[in-house]
Amino acid sequence: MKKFVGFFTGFAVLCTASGVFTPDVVHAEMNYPKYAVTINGSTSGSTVDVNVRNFAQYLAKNLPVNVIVNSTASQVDSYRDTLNADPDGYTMSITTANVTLRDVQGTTDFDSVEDPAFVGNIAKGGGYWVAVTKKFSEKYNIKTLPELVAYTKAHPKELNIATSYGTLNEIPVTSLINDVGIDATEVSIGAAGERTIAFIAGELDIFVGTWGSISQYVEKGDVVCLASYGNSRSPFTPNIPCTGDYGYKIVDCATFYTVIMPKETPKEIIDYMAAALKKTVEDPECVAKLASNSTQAYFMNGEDTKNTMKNMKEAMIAIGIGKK
Amino acid sequence: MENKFLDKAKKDIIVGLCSLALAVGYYLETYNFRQGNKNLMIGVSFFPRIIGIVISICAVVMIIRGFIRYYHAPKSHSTEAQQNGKQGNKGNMLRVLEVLAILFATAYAMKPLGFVLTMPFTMFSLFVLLEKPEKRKYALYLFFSTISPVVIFFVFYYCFSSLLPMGVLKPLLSQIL
Amino acid sequence: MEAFQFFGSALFSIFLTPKYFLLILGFTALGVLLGALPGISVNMSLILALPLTYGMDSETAMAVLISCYIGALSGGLISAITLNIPGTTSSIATTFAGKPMADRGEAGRAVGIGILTSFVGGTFSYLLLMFMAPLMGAVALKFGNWEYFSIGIFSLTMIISIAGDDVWKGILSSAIGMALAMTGPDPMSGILRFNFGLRALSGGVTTTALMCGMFAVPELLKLAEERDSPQAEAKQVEKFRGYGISLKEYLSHWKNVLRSALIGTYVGVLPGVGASSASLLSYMTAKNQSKDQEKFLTDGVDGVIASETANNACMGGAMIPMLALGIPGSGAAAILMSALMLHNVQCGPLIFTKNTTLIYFVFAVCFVANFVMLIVERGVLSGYIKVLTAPRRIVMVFVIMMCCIGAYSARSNYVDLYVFAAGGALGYFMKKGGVPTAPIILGYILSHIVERNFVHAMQLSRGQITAIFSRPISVAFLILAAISLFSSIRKTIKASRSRKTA
Repeated sequence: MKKFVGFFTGFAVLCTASGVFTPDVVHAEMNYPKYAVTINGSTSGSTVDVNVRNFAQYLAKNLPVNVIVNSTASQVDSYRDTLNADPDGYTMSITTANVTLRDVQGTTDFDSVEDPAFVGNIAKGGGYWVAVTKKFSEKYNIKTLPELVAYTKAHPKELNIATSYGTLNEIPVTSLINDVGIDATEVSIGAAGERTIAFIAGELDIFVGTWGSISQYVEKGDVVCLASYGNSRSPFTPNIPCTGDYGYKIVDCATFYTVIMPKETPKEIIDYMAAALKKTVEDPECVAKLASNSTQAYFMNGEDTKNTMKNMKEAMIAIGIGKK
Repeated sequence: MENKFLDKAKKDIIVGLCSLALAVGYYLETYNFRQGNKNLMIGVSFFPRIIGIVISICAVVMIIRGFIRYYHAPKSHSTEAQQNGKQGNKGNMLRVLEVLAILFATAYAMKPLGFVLTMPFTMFSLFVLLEKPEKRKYALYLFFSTISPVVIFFVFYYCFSSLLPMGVLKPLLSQIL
Repeated sequence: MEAFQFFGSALFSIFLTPKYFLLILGFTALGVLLGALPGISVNMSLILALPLTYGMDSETAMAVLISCYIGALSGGLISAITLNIPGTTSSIATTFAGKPMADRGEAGRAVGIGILTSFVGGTFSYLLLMFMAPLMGAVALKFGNWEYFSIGIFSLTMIISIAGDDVWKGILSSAIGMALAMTGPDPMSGILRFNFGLRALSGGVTTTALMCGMFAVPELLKLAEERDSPQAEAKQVEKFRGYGISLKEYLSHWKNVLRSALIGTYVGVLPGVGASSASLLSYMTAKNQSKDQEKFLTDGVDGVIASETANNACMGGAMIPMLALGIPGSGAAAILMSALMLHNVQCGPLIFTKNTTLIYFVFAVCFVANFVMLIVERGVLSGYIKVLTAPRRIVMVFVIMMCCIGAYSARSNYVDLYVFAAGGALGYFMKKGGVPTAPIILGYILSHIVERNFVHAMQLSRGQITAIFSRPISVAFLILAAISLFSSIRKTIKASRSRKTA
């Protein structure tokens, strides 16, 4: 037992000392990257995860090392894991403003704008669409967004509208209620899959979500898409009118895919990675790959990305996201 | 047989008391949760509180049952053999605690030292602790403890693109990878 | 007729293209190996294999991932029976099903039966997948949040009965599991719970770390405790032929096999419920339906058949909503779906018309990989059985190393290593206190289903809890739950009375 305690104590001292005195690899030499870079993504199978994996394939071509994508439990976990990682340029996150929204809600233990170092932005998400089922459309004789708005005003709170507290989906739904005037009951359902099931099963009246969730149902004729959410029509659905076409003023909430690293990461490493990201975003194959998942390749440098996220955070606070 | 009944009663009481303490702490902690969205029908503390109450009920039942069994159990004086058995159990429990300490030390060491340096310590210590002193083969344990983690580390990186913690060996391993 | 044509040509392409067949063979074997390692879950096996598919075309990628999945799903039973540590969460029921056989020295036979019945369960669900996917997809739409909540409650009452004669310990154990599941972000609002202001605890507790800790660490601690006793030596393993069971004997269990395959397939169809629930439900149903429950528990054959048939049948079931509705039925199906999306294939109701060739290729891969699993896993079984003849204390050290890797790799978080160690300590001392530990893991898994669905259901019903009674499927499961709970309580009272009279 005594031998064990002695050995154990010595080991504990060794661990603590190595944690304190681990040499700072980064300042020793700017020979980066030397080994695989890890990207913390999102939940396996989610739209963000697919886009991150798609992007990572092309990023690896512009780096001399492998790129490993780590799926995490959520984007907030991804962000947090990166903030906690060593600032050596080998760990980064690609997340969306979902993290900023959680920050505004007060459910994160970090500041999404001030705590990380922003490397850049690589893509812009596909937006949101407002839809009803064919049965609903026929039952209530609603074929356009203004008809839906009119019905809800005549029958306040009768219908329910799907939202998802803590996700970016909350922004368009809040704006549709506050700015467009849809007087329906907000029902938070959670993940996109659950929302889609509840919608197709007829438990949800008004669906607000991504095109990918409903595209096949629209094509099949089971779902009627009333409008895309935005000031201009989505390039993925040019034949579907947007909220801007009807004159509605809404809160713009594009899904930006921002890349962050730990705050203390040296500028040289951030600049190096930013250059690699830009080259990847300009790759036509990468552009086509992202477009196949209704996502637009879109580059911004670190400073512009930070300012964009800051503005988005302020807009979320203004719309009352954190105050419900 | 009588002692078994008594032991069961004691276990029920101990488990009940520990569970009750856990449940009370768990329930009280729910008051520290931030309030959620007002539109949500069910608050964030709803389910945790129900679970806290369920655990409390089970704990109280086990405590009461334990005491009832304890008072009804026939008492018998422990024999010398049973006393020696208790001494032996103490030694065994010490070994159990040592193994647990190794596992926690592994968790603590993994970040600063990395997988390649931590696992040999863990494996070697466990090999030694789990074997009777007269049958130990230190050279064999050293061999397995040092080779296996290194092999696993490189297999995971090159075959699965999964990077295990490098810790203090990062400068060296980054040259090799 | 067309379906047979497409399927036939897909089968031919697999056998006539060496690349496909070799990949299926290789990755099924890899999947078996990974699934058999405690700490490497089915999802992690897929996540590890996913990067390898980036440069492949969609057919090749599907061949790789599906083979790996089928291998890993079945491979979990090997460590569940030989080491009493589930290789995957879906093999938890197999640990207590196979234990009586392993204790008798029939571990190899138990694994053999498990492999055979996994093949049968898988084949059954792939047949349903191929011919009835759109129809069965419609079944998934009949199940809403109230139905899932009711299934979760029913499953919880079933877990309690695993605790044996003491219903209070069963409830306590599953409640502790549910309590552990409520750490981290709340599923609805994301508000952090039980993190005590520490960033390290903000992510909650992961299934892999907890499962490895609660199953592997107590075994290790038991070895340490019993170091000086003769029982610490290696067990003898009886030799067996084939799959350890004759065709006649296997067919005598046809009711159990059919029931388990149906349970597994239908539970798999329901998104979010999972293979662990399927195998558990199947095991408990088989136990309750058994004419001699004492024999069911001591013999083990029926339990292994029930658990393993269901968890492999779940695979085909989980692919039904994934393909037909575009909604993954399980975490692994979510990874498969993201792999399809990476190759520009959109899942949903039109996939059968837009990507017919690919879909039937996927079906063909399922059948071929399932058959390859039957052969390969039996082939490697001898090697695994040799593990049993090695001193357990040596084997357990390597198992602990793999568990540490599994616990850390789930989300590259060092806190999970502490969860692994703490979970192990909790499991060990709970066992010492006579409290069963299996319900903790199962309670942990089911907690997500119960809480999430209850909260969503209340949102949809606008706070009217009575809405549950207007849904016949929910009511049916609640009645089953009440019956299950009542029989557990009755068993406890009966056992208590028999102890008093003894």
